[in-house]
Amino acid sequence: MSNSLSDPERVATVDLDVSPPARRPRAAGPYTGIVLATCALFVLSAIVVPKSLSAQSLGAMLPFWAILAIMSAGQTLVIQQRGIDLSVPGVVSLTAMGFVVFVDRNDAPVFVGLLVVVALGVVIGLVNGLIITRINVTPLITTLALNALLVGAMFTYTKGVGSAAPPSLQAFAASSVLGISTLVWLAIATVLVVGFVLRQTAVGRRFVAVGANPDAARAIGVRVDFYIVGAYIAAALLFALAAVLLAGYAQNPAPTMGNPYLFQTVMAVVIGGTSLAGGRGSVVATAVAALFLTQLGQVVLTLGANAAVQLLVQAIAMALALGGAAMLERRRKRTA
Amino acid sequence: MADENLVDEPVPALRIDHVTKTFPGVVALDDVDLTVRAGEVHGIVGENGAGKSTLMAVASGALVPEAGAVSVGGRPLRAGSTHDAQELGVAIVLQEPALLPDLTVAENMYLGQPPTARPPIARLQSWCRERLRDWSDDVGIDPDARIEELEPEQRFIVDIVRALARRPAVLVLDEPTEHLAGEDVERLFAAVRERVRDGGAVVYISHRIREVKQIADRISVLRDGCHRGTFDAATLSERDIVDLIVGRRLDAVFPDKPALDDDVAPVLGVASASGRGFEGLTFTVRPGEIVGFAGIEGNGQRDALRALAGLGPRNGSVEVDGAPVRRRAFAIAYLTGDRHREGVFPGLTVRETIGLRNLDRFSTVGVVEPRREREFARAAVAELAVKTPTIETPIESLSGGNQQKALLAGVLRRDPRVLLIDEPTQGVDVGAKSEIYDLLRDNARERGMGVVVVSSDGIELAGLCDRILIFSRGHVVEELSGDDVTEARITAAALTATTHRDKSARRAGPAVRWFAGDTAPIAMVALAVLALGLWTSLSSAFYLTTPSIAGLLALVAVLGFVALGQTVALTIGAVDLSVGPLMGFVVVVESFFLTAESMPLDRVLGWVLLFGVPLAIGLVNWALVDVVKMNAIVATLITFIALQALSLVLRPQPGGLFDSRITDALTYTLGPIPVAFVVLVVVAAGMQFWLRRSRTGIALRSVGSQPEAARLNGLRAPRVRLIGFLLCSLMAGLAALFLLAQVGSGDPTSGIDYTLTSISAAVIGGASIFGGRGSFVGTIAAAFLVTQAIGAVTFLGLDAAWSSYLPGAMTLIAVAVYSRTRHLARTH
Repeated sequence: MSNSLSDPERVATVDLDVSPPARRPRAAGPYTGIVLATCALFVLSAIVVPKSLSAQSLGAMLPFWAILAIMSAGQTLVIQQRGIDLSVPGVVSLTAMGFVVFVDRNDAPVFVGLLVVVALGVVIGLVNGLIITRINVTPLITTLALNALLVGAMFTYTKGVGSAAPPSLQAFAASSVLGISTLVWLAIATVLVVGFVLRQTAVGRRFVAVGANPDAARAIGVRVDFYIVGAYIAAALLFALAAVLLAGYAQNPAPTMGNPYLFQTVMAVVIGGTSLAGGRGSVVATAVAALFLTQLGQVVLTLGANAAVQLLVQAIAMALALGGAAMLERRRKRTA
Repeated sequence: MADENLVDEPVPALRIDHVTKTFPGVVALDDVDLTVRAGEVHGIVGENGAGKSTLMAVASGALVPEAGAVSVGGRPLRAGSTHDAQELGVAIVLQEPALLPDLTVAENMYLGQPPTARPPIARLQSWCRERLRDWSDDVGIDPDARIEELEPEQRFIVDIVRALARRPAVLVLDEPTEHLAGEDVERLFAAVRERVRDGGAVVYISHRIREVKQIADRISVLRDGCHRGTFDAATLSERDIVDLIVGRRLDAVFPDKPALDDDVAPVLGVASASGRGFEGLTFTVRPGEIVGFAGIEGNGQRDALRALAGLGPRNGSVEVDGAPVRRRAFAIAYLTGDRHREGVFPGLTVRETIGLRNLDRFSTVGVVEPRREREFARAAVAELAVKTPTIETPIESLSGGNQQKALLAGVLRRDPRVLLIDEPTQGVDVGAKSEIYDLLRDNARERGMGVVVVSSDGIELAGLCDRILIFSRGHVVEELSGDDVTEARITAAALTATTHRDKSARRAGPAVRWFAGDTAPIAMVALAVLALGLWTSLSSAFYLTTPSIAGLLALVAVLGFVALGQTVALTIGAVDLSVGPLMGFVVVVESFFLTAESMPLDRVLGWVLLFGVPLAIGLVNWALVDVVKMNAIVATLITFIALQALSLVLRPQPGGLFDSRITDALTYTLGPIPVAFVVLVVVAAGMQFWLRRSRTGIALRSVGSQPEAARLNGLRAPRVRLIGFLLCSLMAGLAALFLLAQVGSGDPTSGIDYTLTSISAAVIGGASIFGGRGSFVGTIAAAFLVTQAIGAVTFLGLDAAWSSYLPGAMTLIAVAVYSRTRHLARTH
């Protein structure tokens, strides 16, 4: 055993015969499905409804993808920690409405408003995280209840009456760089940064480990609660920042503006292949899944159906995607 | 010596026919053949991981073997059916009793009986008390106590008593005396002898050889998953048995023990440390020394190790190299003995697992350098000769021994001063065992590291350790060193120490128990209802008038029904998000059939659909959860969206006025009391009775409480969950019936808010989101409170925001209180 030290490479790979059947590297695992499905959807769109890929159509679709992608990145982090954040509508509604009303009422500069939003996001995430880790209330109940409180806070502060987003924010949300919406660049940057932190930093590695097995993480000395609370803070921050962008893009935020994002973010995470059992996840796959959902909606709309049909198609697509994945998984296990 | 005169055997009580069972990377049972006769006590002995428990899991239908068959009394057992095993008369008492923590003692006893032996539920309590009295006159177990409130030894007694109560053809006892006090061991032996006298067979698994020899007629030996023979107990000495169990491992596979220098300063110094389960622990470990903690299971040795690792509370002083350390010291590393629960990270690769403890070794400012990381992992894998195809292989696909070596690689690479290791070779094949011993010894010597080992295997401790501390009732009662470190001395010291266990009464105080019980939510909610009602009626004279009360109660009826459904869903451990849109959908559908202009046939169809639609949706939800295996939240989220979309497709705008005769009938009131509310109360009371006092009700709570334990009790979980999902949707349908009378026309969004309020009402009423408990009366009270709170906002002249604040805050506060008190009431 001791002489094998000289050539680690050889020893590490030499024992093929005694090991279980070599599986394909996991990188090709749960996330390939959604990438293929998205590619197929775009090919299909090009053939069946080419109008949905026109510059105008894409220009209308991509900013909404960007906002959904940023929020879904936050939802991914929470689901990686075996949780779920149902306070999305409340956070979006409070921060978007609160932001425009705050800036309007106080004649405050946009960046002051942004600071307030960031502080709000941190506090919301902290409250969610502490209730879940310290009082042992489940994420479902905690975030559901907090959602109600946030909606209440929004009504208390704004009386349910919004105002126009500051012109500079509107201009920013409508601007584009290299012909592509600034929001899209922001979303890509967010997803890449979060993805890099998770995969390639010490903090990210511990984060994933805590999600995969909190007890084991605790046993090797990782501060488990720190990472769980961190997930909720990061998520609330991402929801809040996306909400401000949404306010700018939509120009006049409405109190119910956040409602669709509760289900859309969860859908994007789940069909992106991140397991609700926690641990491994991919924000990139989530962003691709968000693109799938947004484009699917766009296709349905281009075909002349209304928003209700769009919703129905998305639900059916999700059921098929998950059902199919489950069947494949089972067949693979049986043949293995 | 082996039994050969078995030719004209009558039908054996239990026949295990060439059974093979593998787990990823390990052959747990290799072509095992075993016959247990009626009227005998059949001992099964073997080391940890020899396959004893796996064999009995196959025999009781809990595991499906790859090959082979099991028959009980000549009748074949359908593989993997705990239900069949129960019907055929197999009762098993596991090391971890398969009791349902949220259910009472009596309910658990009931569940353990085959249908023919079950007492009428009305007499359940007295029946349970009698059975417990059969065991002992001063058993001190309340039939109405929840299992989670009991001490571990009481849980064992309950599990043993309920197994005996069945008069099983085959009774399997897996390490039964591990948690029993002295007089209870005597009672168990008496009961076992009686069972055998009555013609039953008893399979007795234990690693306590003396006990097995005392009780068993014949003994079978398992080693490394193979059956090594069955022998007459009378013909074997204890020494023979040990030799058979250990096999070739008796030879020197342990590394030599080096001479240690007495004058060197200790690497670890512990002085009068105390914590949960241990007291006054004082000892030192010299560099290169391996110290073992021994004792009968549960005497504090493991607690002490975990506390030293910073995983449990401790006081007293701990020093590493003479310097005091904080609770979680970097110089002290811990490796768990429960690899499955606390060691392996599912989904992570070998590289990531090894790297996790050593991230600082190959990162710059917190950023991991992939190339250095790979080199690090390869070097660690090579050094410990971990057999893995590549470093990118998922760790859980390795064999037990290689998982352990990979974890060990991660710890050792960290270069700790002190290594605390629990069960270093549990679930590890024989070859890898000696490699692990060598590794520990080599690393201790070369790095001057101190090692503390906890093991339940005396041979392992004797072979590996320089010194042994024997634990008894949390104290170190003896220290063995030098030539005294032998298995015999360790076992003798552990057994002769006062191992008698007290029947301690560590139950939580009455206040905590009351809060954790089922009546507290109802009482608290009732108090809140009264307080809120008083406050509101003082602020508004109109509040207590007949129309106001009737309006409130009519809304309570709607929320009440759907909350009853949600309570059923929570009880089976699921949550149904689709109930709100389902209500809206039913309202929309009925707006096409129950209008004033509808034909009689349409009306008939409408009434059929009132039940048909919810049942179909319940079926879809169940299929997504139990057939497609989706998470309940995701599954019902899909039906939520689909139903909401369908409602909007059918009625983009509200439309279709309901027949006023129908709405009038549905909103009929007796004074201030709507008939709907009366129906609700009657239904809730009926369901409450059904949940508490019927077999289905007990089954629902069992499946929600702990699906795996429910399965071991012979329940078919999918079937039970189907009932739950159907009932939940049906209740939402009933709620929709009263909702349509309130809204008057087909409004596609009329139901959507009820998802959240139904969950609020159910959890405020005391249902646990973890499943297993729920009270329909509590739910109705909570539905009253939530409706009242939302309604009170206008009476009190409060901001509209309060209709969000109140339900949100009430839910949080209620769940927080229940969560804390239930946590405190549980014994650990």
